[in-house]
Parts: sequence; C-alpha cells; structure tokens
Amino acid sequence: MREKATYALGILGAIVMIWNLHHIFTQMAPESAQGMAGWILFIHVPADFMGDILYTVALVTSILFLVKKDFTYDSISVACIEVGTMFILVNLVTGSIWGKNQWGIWWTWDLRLTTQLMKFLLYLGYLVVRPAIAEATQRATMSAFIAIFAYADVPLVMMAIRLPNVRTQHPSPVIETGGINDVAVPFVVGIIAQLLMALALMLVRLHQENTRREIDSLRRELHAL
Amino acid sequence: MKSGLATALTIARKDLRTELRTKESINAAASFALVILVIFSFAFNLERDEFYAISGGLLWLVYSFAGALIVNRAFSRELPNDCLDVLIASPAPGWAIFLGKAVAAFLLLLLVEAISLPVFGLFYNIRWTESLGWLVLIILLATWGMTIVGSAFSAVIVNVRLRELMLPVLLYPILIPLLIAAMGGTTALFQGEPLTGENFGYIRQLIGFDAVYTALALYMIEFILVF
Amino acid sequence: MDVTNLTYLFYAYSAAWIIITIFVLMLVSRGRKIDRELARLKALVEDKERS
Repeated sequence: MREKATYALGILGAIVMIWNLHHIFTQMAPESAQGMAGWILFIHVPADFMGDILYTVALVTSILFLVKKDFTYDSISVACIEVGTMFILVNLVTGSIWGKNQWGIWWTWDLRLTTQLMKFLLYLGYLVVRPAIAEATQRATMSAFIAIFAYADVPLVMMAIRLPNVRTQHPSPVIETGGINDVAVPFVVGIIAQLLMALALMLVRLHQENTRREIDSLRRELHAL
Repeated sequence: MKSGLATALTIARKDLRTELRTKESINAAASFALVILVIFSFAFNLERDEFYAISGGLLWLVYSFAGALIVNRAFSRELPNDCLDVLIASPAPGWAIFLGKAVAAFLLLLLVEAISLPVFGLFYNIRWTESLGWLVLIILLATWGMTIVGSAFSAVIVNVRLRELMLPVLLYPILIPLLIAAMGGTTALFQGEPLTGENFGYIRQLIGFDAVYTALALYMIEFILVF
Repeated sequence: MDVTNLTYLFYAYSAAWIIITIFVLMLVSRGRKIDRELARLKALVEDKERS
C-alpha cells in the first residue's frame, strides 16, 4: 500500500513535469534575450531548490542522529543526500548546457559555478565514503559528521548567486525581483513537479535503507543461531 | 579547560616526538613534495614572467598533497595495538586529544613546507624572500586550516577501508575556499604586490575559514571520537 | 536562431530526464538486489530455527 502510494507520487510528479513541458512549448513565447533556451530555467532552478531542501533536511536529521542516536534519522539523511545529489547534478548539467547556448562555454570558474560544483563534490564524498565503513554505528556517526561539514557550502552558494559585483556570467535571480512576467506558472509548476519526484525518490531510497538495516540484523541473528 | 590544554600539549609533544624519532611521514611527505615539484616543471612551457601567474597555485598544490599525507597519519598512527581505543577511553577530553594531534600535524606540515619552499624557489626561480612576512602569515593561516580540517576528517575515516584514497576525496572539496585564498594571495606576493588594500581580502578569507572550521571541528569531534 | 535555441532547450530537458531515469533505474536494480537478499536471509533464518 505504501509502495503504491510512493509510485503514484513519482508518476504524478512525472506527469506534472510533462504538463509543464507541454505548457512551455505551446504557451510560452521565446524569452526576450535568450530565445526558447531561457526556459531551461524551469528545470535548472527548481533542481537546485530540491537539492538544497533535501540537504537541509539531511542536516537536521544528521544533527538529530548525533543527539538521539536513533538510526531512523541516519536512514533519512542518506536518502535525502543521495536524491539531493542527483538533483544538484541535474542543476549542473542543465546549467552547463544553458551556458554553452548562451555564453558559448560549457564551464567557467566563477564563484557561483565553483561553489555549486564544490557542493556536489562534498556530498559525493559523503556517498563515496559511506559504503566503505563496515560497522553501522560508526558509519552513521561519520556520515552525520560529513553531512554537517558539507552543509557549510549550501548558504555559500545561495549568497554567491545573490552577491552583486561578482565577476560572473551567471545571471542574478530575476524571478524574485519580478523582472520577467509570465513565468510564474511554469516556474511554480516546475517546483511542484520536482518536489513530488524528490519526495517519491526519497521515500523509495528510505525504504531501501530500512531494508538494508533489516538485512544487517538478520545477518547478525543468523550468525548467532 | 586548563588541564585540557595541558593534555593537548602532552599529546602534541608525544606525536611530535614519535614522528621526529622515526621521521617516516616527514620523509615521505617531503620526498613526495619534491617529486611533484620536479614533475610540474614538465607540465608547462612558460616564459619566466608568465610563470609567476601560476606560481602560487603550484606551491599550494604541492603543499596540499604533502598535507594530505601528513594529516592522514594523525589518527591512523594510533590504530596498531589499539592505542586509539586507549586514548578515547582515557579521561582526556576529546577536544584535547584532537587539538594535540592537530597541532602536531600542523608543526610537521610546516616543517615539510619549510623544506619545500627553498627548493621551489630554486627550481622555478621565484623570489620568495621579499615580503617574507606576508608569505609566512599566509602559510601559517592556510596550513592551520588544512591541518584542522584534515585532522578532523582523519579521525572520521580512521576505520574506513582505503583510507588514503578517501581522505583526499573528502578533504579537498572542503578546502577549496582556503586553497583559493592561499593560492591567490601567494601568487599576488610572488608577483610583487603586497597584501594590503584589496589583496588583504585573501588574509580575511583565510582567517574566516580557520575560525569557522576550527570551532566546528573542536565542537563536533566529541561525537566522532566517542561513538 | 529560435530553432537553434529550441534545440538546446531539448538537450537540457533530455539531459535532466536521462539523469533522473538512470537514477530511478539504479534505485530499482538496487532495490531488487536488496529484496532478494532479504528473502534469502529470511529463508535461511527460518531453516535454522526449524532445525
């Protein structure tokens, strides 16, 4: 039952995203300066939002794990970070494609892109180190530590996007300042779509992590018998 | 608090004495730094003036590679004979153990850097004796940042398989802001600009990084060492 | 010009979908492995308890 709900959530997210795509192609006029490619925004920015939201949840559950030593928090942390890292990868790749179209380059080492890549690498480190720790309590404790350390970059990225006078080609957020009209609907729908997908993926991964813990305890039981 | 600092000092002295007797990691790190310095000379074919633009970056690449070696040993040195368990079981506060090891690693890394710097100046014809004061300040600040974060992660992965590979994977992304500031500041110094005015931002960034991560590491190390 | 930019829009969305799809496939295959392992262990534990 719970599984079916999760799958339904994911499929709903996919449907909403397809609806959004349809809306973009049929209703949206080409953006003034960037042509239709400007609408990469609707997948690029929400992906970053999803990553940040998931990383923030992971931060909270990591701290909660260190305080309360309840493994549920550890499971939620790893699920959030894994899905969040995927969303940041989507952000980086769509941003790179957008950049190739707009600025002619796939990458540049300005503050915004560098800090975002750094965020991706930090959490990738989390995902790489975690399987290498054999014992469960150690693994959870170390992961919590790494997740907390890595979170320092998240506010840094948000500041980097908003700081004026930073030599960069990455545009400042225009949505918030109301610079463009007509983007509200696809933008919000895009966020909702990715939120649904993020939730579904996170729940699936959480279930898998709980199953893994059950496997660990069964192995111990088998060993004891 | 006082006894904690005294404990930290004792542990720092122990680590330093152990290392200076065998000189294992100093030799390894210094040799590695020298080899890298040689290999980098083949990487670029630059005129003397162009080379100054990458000089700072090159120096800190070498220092960070050597640093990873030194810092890795900080906690892994305690693994044989269950010394780490004994340390944790002792009444010494976790932060004191950590601080002592970080200080020892800091001094050892400074030693390796002091050895590599003249060689770097020699191989690449960099005049580093001018504005020596600023250079020493950058080296001290950035090395402290590297060792405090490196020692923290060394404690985290002490029981992980493939420890030597995991430490760079974890450490270098976190060090990116520190390395950017250190490399930028050092390049500016080698190009003859003093670190005043706009260039002082590099020092500010280093101090900020050190302050934040020292506080974070000292606060969190209790959870890591006593799991 | 518009057509070219439409191409890039297509590339970007395709890239995003491909990444998400690969991730979902990874989750699914890992999930199957875990479920198989769980079933195997459960059977083993039952056997041992019976004997």
